[in-house]
Amino acid sequence: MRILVLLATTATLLTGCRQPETSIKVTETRRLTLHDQIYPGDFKDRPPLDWRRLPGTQFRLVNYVAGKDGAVEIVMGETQGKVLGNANRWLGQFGLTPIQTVDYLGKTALLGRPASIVEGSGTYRPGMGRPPKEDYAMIGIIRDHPSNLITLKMTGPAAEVEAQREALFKYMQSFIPVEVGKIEKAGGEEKTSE
Amino acid sequence: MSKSKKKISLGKHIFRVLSGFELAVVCLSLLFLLTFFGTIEQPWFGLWTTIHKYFDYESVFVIPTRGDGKAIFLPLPGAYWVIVVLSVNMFLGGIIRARKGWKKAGTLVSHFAILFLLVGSAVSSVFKEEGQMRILQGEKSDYAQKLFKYDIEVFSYDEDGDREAPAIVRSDQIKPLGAKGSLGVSFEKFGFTLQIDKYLPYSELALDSPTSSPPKDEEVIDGFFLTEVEKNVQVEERNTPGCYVTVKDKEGATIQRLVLWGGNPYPVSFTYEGKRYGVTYLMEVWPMPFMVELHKTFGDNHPGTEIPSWFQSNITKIDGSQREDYEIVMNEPARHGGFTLYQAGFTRAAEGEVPSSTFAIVNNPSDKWPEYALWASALGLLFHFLVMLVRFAGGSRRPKKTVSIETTQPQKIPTS
Repeated sequence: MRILVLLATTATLLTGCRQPETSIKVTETRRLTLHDQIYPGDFKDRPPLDWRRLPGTQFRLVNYVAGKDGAVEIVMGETQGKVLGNANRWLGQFGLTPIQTVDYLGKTALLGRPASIVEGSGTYRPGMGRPPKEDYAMIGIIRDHPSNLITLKMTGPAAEVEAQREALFKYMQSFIPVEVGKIEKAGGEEKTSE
Repeated sequence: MSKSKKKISLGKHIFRVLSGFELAVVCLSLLFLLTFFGTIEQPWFGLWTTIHKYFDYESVFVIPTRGDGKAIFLPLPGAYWVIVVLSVNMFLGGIIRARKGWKKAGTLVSHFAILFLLVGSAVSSVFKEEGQMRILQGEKSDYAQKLFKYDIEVFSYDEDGDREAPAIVRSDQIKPLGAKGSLGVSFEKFGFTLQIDKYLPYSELALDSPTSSPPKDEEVIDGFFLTEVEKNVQVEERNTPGCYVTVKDKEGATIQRLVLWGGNPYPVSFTYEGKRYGVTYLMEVWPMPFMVELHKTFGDNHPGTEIPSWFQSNITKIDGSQREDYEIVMNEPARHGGFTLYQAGFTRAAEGEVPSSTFAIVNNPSDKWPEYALWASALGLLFHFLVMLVRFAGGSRRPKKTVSIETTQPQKIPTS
């Protein structure tokens, strides 16, 4: 009987009362794997040091904030449709007149394909119930592709956007397609992206 | 003549109890009840939750639960610890206390084999590592991820924008926090510290918008906030934790407040002393000592269902300069050192998409012990039955012994 009581008491004490730690020092690390070379959309980017990355969303593969109090948003995403339709949607957010042809847009290149530059300024109405914002500006790039478009858009207070203009175009040039997970074909030929 | 009561020492008494047949019966009965209640609970609360509740070594006592959530007040000891007691009983009773001799060799071997099996399951319970590796056809991978274990990883970026080796805050250190606890984290390799708080084991990350507002007093970070959701008991993999983190400098001043969510596959970042850092909350990354290339994955479903009836993956396993080809199918895994790769699933591809295979990877030091134990037990029992057979056969051929009993006539009792 005494033994049973002793065992029961020991078991009760052992179950208990493990208080969570309040502070720890981390020394553990691991070696790098292919997981550390995964990037959204399979594009590696190199943002400016003062850009801060936020969680992505369904429509924002890449999501940064910059400028004073993070007022400038830089978003990269993939979308359907045509360059003209998406450009007019962006211009419409600033209450600007829709354009009839992409010839009115500036030209550049993004990830090796032609891209159009869309710019606007004024009162920014983002839609979806969000309040309008005065004296805002937008610089957007839309990369053309038969199956899906890649968009890169910077929006924020006009002065802050202008201050980030050069950084945006430099950032755009930093995109590199990443295919570290692909099996190399025999003979050393690598599968290339479109 | 009265018999005097023989006094038994405490040690002998303990030995008798621990080696007794009665204890074995109690343990086996408890295991029956635990298995019964666990089987009843599993469809309601999910396989992983039930296994963890009944069989984990951290579960010392278990209260079975009905499907409607009400407890059945029948506290039972956890199965792991019942098996520990049964192992002690098997060792003391089945090996130490058991009669020795060549005639008993078979049963001794069988008892030892069963004990070896039980010890193997304990080793597996404590030391086994398992994870999943998902690969798209035509791609390769050198890591697995452990389901249900979410770590926070903090790393710096080098000048080329590539990640450097991360410092890891393990899930076992985060989980006990709860929504009200807080954990301060300092790093050997970094000058800043983290304060982790508001840990939610089942959560979603929401965007603050007119259509999705946070609850009153809920913290919004960069337009995002965590909401607590109901636990998904049927599919444990869908339960995603989240927490908030404050990055602080050496003086304790706040550098950045971040929200981390296990369902976000990419890191968030901050800058400290002219360097960029990433923070991510993810299923534990388990580096493999080999690379797996998936060349082809294919299979078939049971007619009229989406349940696979069979599937196969043709892979190449690469270890340094060594390349080995395998065809992994259900119940025919590939092995590498102590690692075993099982075909756990495959995903058919829709038009224009790429199919994929999921491999369950297990590193279990006692992987083969049950097989060895069963062989040893079978041999031991075979030997024992042969001995019994020979003894029986030998006994029936031997001439029956006749026993002579000396009798004498009873003496006449004189009458007076």
